[in-house]
Amino acid sequence: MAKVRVGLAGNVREIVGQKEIEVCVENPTIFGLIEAMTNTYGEKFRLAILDASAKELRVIVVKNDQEIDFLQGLGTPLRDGDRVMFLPPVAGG
Amino acid sequence: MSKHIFSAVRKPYRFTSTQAGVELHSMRAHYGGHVGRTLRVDLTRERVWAEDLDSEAIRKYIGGAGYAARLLYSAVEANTDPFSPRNVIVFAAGPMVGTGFPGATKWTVCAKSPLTYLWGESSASGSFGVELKQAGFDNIVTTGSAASPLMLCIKDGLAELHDGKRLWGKDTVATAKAIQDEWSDSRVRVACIGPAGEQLVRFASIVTDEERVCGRAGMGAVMGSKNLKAIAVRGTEKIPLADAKAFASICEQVRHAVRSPTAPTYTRDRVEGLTADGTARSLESLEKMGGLPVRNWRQGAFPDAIKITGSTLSKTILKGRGMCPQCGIIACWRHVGIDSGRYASVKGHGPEYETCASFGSLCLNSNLESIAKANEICNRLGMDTISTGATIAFAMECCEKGILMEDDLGMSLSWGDDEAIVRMTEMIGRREGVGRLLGEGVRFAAERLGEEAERFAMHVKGMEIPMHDPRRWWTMSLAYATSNRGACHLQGIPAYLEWGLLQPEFGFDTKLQPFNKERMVEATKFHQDFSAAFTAMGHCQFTIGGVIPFMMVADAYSAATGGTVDHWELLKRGERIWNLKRAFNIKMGGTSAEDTLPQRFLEEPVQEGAAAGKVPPLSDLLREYYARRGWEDGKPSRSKLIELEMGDIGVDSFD
Repeated sequence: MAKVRVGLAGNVREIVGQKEIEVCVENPTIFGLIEAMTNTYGEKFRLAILDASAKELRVIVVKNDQEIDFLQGLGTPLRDGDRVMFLPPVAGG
Repeated sequence: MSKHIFSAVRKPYRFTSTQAGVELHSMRAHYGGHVGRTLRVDLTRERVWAEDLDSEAIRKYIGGAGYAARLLYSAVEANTDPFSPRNVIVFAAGPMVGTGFPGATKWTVCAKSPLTYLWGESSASGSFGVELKQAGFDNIVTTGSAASPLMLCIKDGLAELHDGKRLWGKDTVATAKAIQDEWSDSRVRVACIGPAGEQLVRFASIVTDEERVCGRAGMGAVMGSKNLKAIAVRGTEKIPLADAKAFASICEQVRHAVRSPTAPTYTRDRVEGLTADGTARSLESLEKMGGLPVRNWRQGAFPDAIKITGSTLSKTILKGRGMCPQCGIIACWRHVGIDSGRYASVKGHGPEYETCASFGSLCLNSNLESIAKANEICNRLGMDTISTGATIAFAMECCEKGILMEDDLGMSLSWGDDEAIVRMTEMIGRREGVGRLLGEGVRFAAERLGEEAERFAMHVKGMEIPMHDPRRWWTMSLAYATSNRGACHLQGIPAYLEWGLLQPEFGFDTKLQPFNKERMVEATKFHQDFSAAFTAMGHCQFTIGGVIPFMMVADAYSAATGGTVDHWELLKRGERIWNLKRAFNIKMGGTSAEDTLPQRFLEEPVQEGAAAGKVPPLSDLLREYYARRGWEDGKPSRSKLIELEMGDIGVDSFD
């Protein structure tokens, strides 16, 4: 179990209704966090985060200022006090 | 090269129908996509005439900005002042423009830049380039300077110079409307300057009737220096294609491919995301990732980012979306309106990412409506929003440090003061009060204010820095330092590969790791060559970077122009174009000493966010970059020029 702070932007903020929340995660990984939040906010949360195959991310996920793509991906472990952000992809400009 | 000369002031240049028919047919036999003609305009003598495209230059440099670079390399002398009649300004539309390929409407203006005194180039999308080709010309090459304001009118093969005095002083919206009213045709496409270009604001832009903007590098000021107020175009000619049936089939496949469930996730999200919330959608993400510029690049966090991000814009001031003609993929245009309050009456194209950041976080301003107002002023007066916001941020820091006082400005200008930002934007655009100084851009303004100001004048080669922090995106540190037109975030934008907008067809199938030099130089060189190629062809960044696979683009190019060209050959041509623009800069006196970044980026890391404590290892990156480019002391080597079939322009590149 891990208690983490989750920052939200874009679509996922609209779904959750807040820009920052605290979540207790039974399976302390990024994937576990997504599952926990899906249980609370519904399938549309999962679909905003993962594509239909549930393997590819639709958002940028950052743990303590590091993108999980460069950590262990969806298996990135979480500990108490970690900060995770779900951010819309960068579209340039 | 055949030449048809028509004389005299204000007499129309006219093809006979037989002549036009013969020439188009012969051009189509050689290559399609191009119409086959360049319009030449001598403003001093008030003459216009046409010449055929140089087929060898087309083969090597594609067209558009590539063709313009070849013309300008020969036409502009080293000591030419950008505001002198000897500067040459080229309006160019590449072979894919107007063919109907999704997103291929980009046209480009090129000249010696009054900001950098080097290669100047700026592109816009929308209908103007399409209409120019339909009117019978791929390019307009303009020399000299008119004795009094003129406008250039082109209609289905006819070209005339008209008196423009009645338009001088009008903003760009009023100018375009006046011309369309005079022609009784709302489909006339207009590219014009506003008061900023007339007043030679060094970062003045060129704006179309659709509010598409050639923003960067001061091309509007060059037009103003020539007393050329506007170009109006109306054309109905069909653009020839070598194999129209194959071309149409590829276009259809492209439209399906980008929306298919099997398209990469990053492709689908980009298409949907840009349509939903425009490029400003990324502002909050970029802030959270530590890449948003804050307070003239002195801070790494902006907690109010949510107030000026794209989703907020969509929920508050967005009135509609739109897209370029013949795009059909991404509706990135934002139409905004403010109905009440201090900034009521704003109505027009809305701010995108660069503008939201430059008038927003860069100035510590979180008032989105004021950003929309400043954007509108820039569009109407004709100024680049990046350079304008950056110059205001520079002025704010000058005030903070006592270099500029309230008496100098005629007003107070403190961080986050949205009303002052809006007022200052107007003053710069009209060169009023301190606008006379700030309209010179940060480099020249800082030179006048002294050494302390020069330390935080944020530019490369004179061009103000776009809104991606190179201390966070190390690829952009190299891109800014080495781009031919000064600090540029579009040619190329290797940060795409740090953000996950991949190009697997060129071997970039995984994201680049942040703060890790591995592959960063390779990625930057690739993106520069890539951007040079597809910009010359006429493609939009948004439909190419990580969206339409470039092999499909190459197939379409082959079908349009004839012959068989693959994506690697197009990349090679892009490399050639890149080296040509570099050679132009060397001819103008540019050196590798200018391939650098402001001291703030190299020695002053931010203290917050993902980039806290970090600066880019620019010297290491540059060393590898020159080696990969085959350059010696920052100049293309003789062997590189020969490899690229550029031996004819080699002489000026060597001591």
